[in-house]
Amino acid sequence: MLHPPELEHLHRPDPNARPIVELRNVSAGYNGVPVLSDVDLRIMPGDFIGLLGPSGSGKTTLLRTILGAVPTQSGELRVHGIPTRARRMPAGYVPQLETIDWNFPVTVEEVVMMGRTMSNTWFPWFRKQERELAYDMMERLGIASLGKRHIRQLSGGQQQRVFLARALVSSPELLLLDEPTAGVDVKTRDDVMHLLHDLNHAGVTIIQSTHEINTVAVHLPRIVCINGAIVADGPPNRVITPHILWEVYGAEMPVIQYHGMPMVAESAHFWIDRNGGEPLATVPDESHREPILPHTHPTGDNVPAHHHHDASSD
Amino acid sequence: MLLEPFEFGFFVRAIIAASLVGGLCGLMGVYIVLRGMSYIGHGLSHAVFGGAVVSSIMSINFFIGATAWGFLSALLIAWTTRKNPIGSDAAIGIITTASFALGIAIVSRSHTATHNFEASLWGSVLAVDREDLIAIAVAALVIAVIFFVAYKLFLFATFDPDVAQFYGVPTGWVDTLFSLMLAGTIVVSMQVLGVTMIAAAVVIPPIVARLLTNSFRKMVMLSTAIGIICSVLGIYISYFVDVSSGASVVLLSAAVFVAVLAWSKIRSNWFPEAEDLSSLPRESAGTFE
Repeated sequence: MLHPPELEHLHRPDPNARPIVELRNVSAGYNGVPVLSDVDLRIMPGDFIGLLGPSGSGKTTLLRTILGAVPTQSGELRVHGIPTRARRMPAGYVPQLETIDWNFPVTVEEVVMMGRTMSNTWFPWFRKQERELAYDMMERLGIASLGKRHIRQLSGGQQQRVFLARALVSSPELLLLDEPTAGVDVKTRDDVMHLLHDLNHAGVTIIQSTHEINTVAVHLPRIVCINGAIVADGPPNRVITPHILWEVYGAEMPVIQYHGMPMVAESAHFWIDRNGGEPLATVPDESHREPILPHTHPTGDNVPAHHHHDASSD
Repeated sequence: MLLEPFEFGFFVRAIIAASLVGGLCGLMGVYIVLRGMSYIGHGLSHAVFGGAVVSSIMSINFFIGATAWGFLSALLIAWTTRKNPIGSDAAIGIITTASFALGIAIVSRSHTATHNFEASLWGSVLAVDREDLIAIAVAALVIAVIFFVAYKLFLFATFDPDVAQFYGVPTGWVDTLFSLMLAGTIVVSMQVLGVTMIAAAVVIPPIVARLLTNSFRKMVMLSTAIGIICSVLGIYISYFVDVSSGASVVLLSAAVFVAVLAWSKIRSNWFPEAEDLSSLPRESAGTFE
C-alpha cells in the first residue's frame, strides 16, 4: 500500500483555485449526433468524482470530452479558465482493462514508459532519467519488480496498476479512469479504490466512471449521475436516492442506510418480501416526487475524501 | 564450390537486394501484424500491380507511380474502414482486387504493354539492376530512420491508438505516414519477391519473432534479423536448386515458422514453468480472395 507522503511531488491542490476543467452548457457527440447535451460540470482541484450512469449514457464520451477528444457541438470547454477548442488537456487516462490487447508483445516497463511518449518527442529513445521516473512510479505502485514481465503475466490488480503508472508517470494534475473496477474481484476492487484514495490524498484530482453504485457511494465524496445529460451532482447522501436512481437508470432501486452511508439493495422484491410485504426501503413513487437537485455541487470546499480507510492506508 | 555464385555480379546484387528487402519486410511486418492488417501486404501488392501497369502506359517512373498508387490505395482502405461499418479485411479485398483487376484489364487491352509484368508477379531477384538496388536501399534507409526516430509514437499508436490520441500522439499523422511507408515497402519488394509472395515475407518474420519474445523492442529486432536471414538464405538456396527466388524465400520462412512453433509447443509442454510465450498476436484479417 502507498504511503501518501511519497507522492508529495504531485501537485498539491489549492482549495481556492479555479476549476481545472469546466464544461459550460456543452453538447458533444459523434458524426453530428449528440451523446451529451447541455452539460455543466466543474472539476475542482482535489476532486474525487464518481461518474454513474447506465450503459450508453455517455460516461466514456464525457471523459473523452474532458480530454478534448470529442468535438463539442455547442457550449464551451475551459481548461484552467481558458476556453479551448479541441485542445488536449494534460491528463492521465486509464482505459477499461477489457479494451487492452493482452497478446500485444509489451512488457510492464514498456507500457509505463508510453506515458512519457510526448514528453520528449524528438529524442528517439527514452532517456535514463525518464526510465528512473518510470521505475519510481512503479515502485510507489508496488510493481517495480515486474518491469520485465509481459502484461498478461500479472494479476488483475497488478494490471490495473500498470496502466495507472502509465497515466501517472508524467505527473498529471487530473486522472481519468474508465471503469477501473469492472470485471475484477472484490479484493482487487478494494485495493484499487484504496490506491485511488491515496493518490487523491496526495493531491491528484480524479474522475472515474463506474457501474458500481455502492463502491462509489462508500468511497467517493462526489458523485455525478448522467444519462445523456447531467441528472445529479453532489455528495453520495444527496445523490444516491431512489428517485434520482430512477431518473438515471429507469429502474427501481431501494436505498438503505448502512453506517450512515447510502447503499443500493440488490432486489426490491427481496426486501419487500422479507419484511412481510412492507417495503424496508423507499421505492420511487410518482405521486410524491421531490424535484431532483441537478447541480448540488459541494460549494467550493472540495476536500479530498477522508471519511474512509485511514487505518488501512499503511 | 559454395562460394561459386558470388563470382557473378548479378548474384551479389541479388543477395544485397534480398537482405534489404527481407529486413524491410520483417521490420514493417511487426507493425502490420500487430495492427491486425496481415493481409494488407498481399492486397496492396496486387493494388500496386495496377499502379505499375498504369505508370508504364503513361510513361511515369515505375517507383514513383506505383508508390503513389499504393499509397492512395492504403489511404482509401484506411478511410473506408474508419468512416463505414466495413472491416479492414473486406476493405482490403475490395479496393486492392479492383486495382489489380484494372491492371489486368489494361494489360489485356493494350498488347504493347506486356513487358516483364510476369516478373512482378513471381519475383525475379536475379534481374535486379542498379536502379532497383538504389531504390531498395533508399526505401530501406528512410523507413528504418523513421521507425528509429518515431519509435515511441509508433509503439503507442500501434498498441492502443485510441488512448495514444489522449496522450497527445498524432495518430492520424502516424497512420498516414505508415500507409506511405507500406506502399514504398511493397513497391521495392515487388521486383524481388513478387506480388504473390510478399504477404508471407511480411507476416512470417514477425510471427516467428513473437513466438520467441514478449518484448516489443526485441520483437522488432528479431523480426528484422529473421527477415534478412530467411531472404539471403532463400536466395542462396534457390541458386542451387533452381527454383523461383520468391518461392524459395517463402518456403524457407515457412519451414522456420514450423520449426519455431514446434519448439515453443515442446517447451511449454515439457517445461510448463518456463515463461508462457505461446500465444500469437491478435488474429489477422480473415478471408481474402
